Amino acid sequence: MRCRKALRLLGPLLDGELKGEVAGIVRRHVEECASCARRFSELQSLVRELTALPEIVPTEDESIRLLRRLRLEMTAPSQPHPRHLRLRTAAVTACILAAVFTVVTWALVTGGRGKAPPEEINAARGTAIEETASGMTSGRGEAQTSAPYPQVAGELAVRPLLLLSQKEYSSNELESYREDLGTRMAFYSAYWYPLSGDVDSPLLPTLQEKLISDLLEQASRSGLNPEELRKAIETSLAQGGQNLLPCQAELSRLQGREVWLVSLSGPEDYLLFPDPQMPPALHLAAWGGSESLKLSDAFVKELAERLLPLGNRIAVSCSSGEYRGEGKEGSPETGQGKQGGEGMVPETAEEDFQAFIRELAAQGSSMDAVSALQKLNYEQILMLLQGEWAALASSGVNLSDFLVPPHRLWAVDRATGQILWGKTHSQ
Amino acid sequence: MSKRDEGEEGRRGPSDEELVRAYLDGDQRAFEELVSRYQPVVMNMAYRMLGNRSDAADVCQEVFLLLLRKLRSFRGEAKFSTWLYRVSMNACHDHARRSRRHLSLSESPNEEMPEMEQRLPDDHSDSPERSMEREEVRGKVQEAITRLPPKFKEVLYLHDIGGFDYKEVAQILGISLGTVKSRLNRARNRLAGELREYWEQGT
Repeated sequence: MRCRKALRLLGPLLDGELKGEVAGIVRRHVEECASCARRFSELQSLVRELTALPEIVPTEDESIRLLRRLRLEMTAPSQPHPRHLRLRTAAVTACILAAVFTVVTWALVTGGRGKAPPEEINAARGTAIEETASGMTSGRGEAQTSAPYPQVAGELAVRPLLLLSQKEYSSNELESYREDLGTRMAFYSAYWYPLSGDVDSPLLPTLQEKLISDLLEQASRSGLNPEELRKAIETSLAQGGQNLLPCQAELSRLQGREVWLVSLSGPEDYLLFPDPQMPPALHLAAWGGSESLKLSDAFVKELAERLLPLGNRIAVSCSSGEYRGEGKEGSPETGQGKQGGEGMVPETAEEDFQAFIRELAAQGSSMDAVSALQKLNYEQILMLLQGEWAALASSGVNLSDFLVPPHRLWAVDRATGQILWGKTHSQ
Repeated sequence: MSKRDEGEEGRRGPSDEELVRAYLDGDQRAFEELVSRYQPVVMNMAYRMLGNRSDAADVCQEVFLLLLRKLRSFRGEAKFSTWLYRVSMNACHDHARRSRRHLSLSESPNEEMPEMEQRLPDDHSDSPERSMEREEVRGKVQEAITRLPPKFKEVLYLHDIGGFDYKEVAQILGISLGTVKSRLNRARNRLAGELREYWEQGT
């Protein structure tokens, strides 16, 4: 066999793609010809290098972003809408929870004694509960959530709840109320899940208006001034976010004053459907972003400014609450380059960080945040600043130390329209 | 079947084709299962073809969006994985065409690549110097792959990295067995030529 032909067959020989007799001839040629033997050896080295290339594993962040985008596509109005198994399960669960919630609410408003409250309240509450319960238990939620989203042109898939409890709440009770996502479950399954949690969806304003109208209509039928409730809802939306969905309004009492407790549903209600592969806090981070960070914006900014620009190697950029160290080798997508540029000395930064934490502790500011930060090393604090929640979780940090459900409950004074309880922009 | 094709082989549960049918019958979760199976496969292919992680993630998204729109035209004549590889390969070529920087031969293909790969576990208990050398060679290998013409690159990827045999590569790309052999031979010769210098330095 001539070398020219043998050279063409070296690859198939190595790949086991030559049949017996031909393979034998080529193998013998390689044994006898030093030049072809060298080429064969090179080929073996090359294939070894290629098969040894490491696999690229998608990060959780990449997977989440991909799924969000695809879900949006799957639920877009122009797409044929597949039957939504998860959603149906969610809707059924929501019905059960709503029924339980209705019973619990009934027990609360009747003081657990079943005693009839004052007539006016009783009539109003009876209407609200009855309608809500029938809407849920008749399967309306389930039937409509499996239809193409959104049902904004017709009947609402899940209606908001109007409660006239007149219950006197303490601030502590409101804290628990705010953390309780149970009442938002039906809203998540009916609205946020099909929208992939997209708060910028152009469908939301119409949907929101329908929900508000429904609440106002319930208020009107209960003999209340609907405009008063509208103002309370608008005040809450102005604080929480214009594209959130009002899911519940309760007439109750706080500090001796009559208040509207307005509860808004947001995409973070995803927490109600925990993925066994991800901690709930990670979901929260994915949906809530910097809004769900326990540390204040100013605090994070100060931290970033103190730590990142060492030697001017890392530029601190602040936009939309995100602070990224952009080292020259940095790759924001992968979280690489956390050590910054080549002049960065992590030990110095670590010392500076610890000193900074001690300083903060001495000032007595944000004690919760300080104690949580003290558990982190320098690299983890950079992950925190860069919003790399998945990396932070995988490094063993409990994300719950840094993340809270966004505040979605406000107590609005019925008489003055002022916020008596709940996070405001000025805080 | 590919040693890296983790999409289907050795997996319990419904086959890819069953998942496709379930999705077409309206089960959205079935599509999400397909995404979960094949995202790593598509990411790896796109990364090796384009040499850049963010481009690979973009292509990954393009491929699955395309799949959503085209799944109804999947007739089941070919295996789903074969079809997906073909769609993905085309998406990589389209992306590269759109992106001038990946066509430029003069530009260093990927500054971030060696850094990204250094996080991956290394089976070898090499010395730091040896590890750095290995990283450098890997970087050079990736650069050389990125510079290959698309037709060589796709065959090389599918066979030497993806682990498909000649016949499977021919099926995926819709070319003859002879063309596969010829392109693979030329791709390897080119790569070997570029890496010869490193091998000689290492010996």
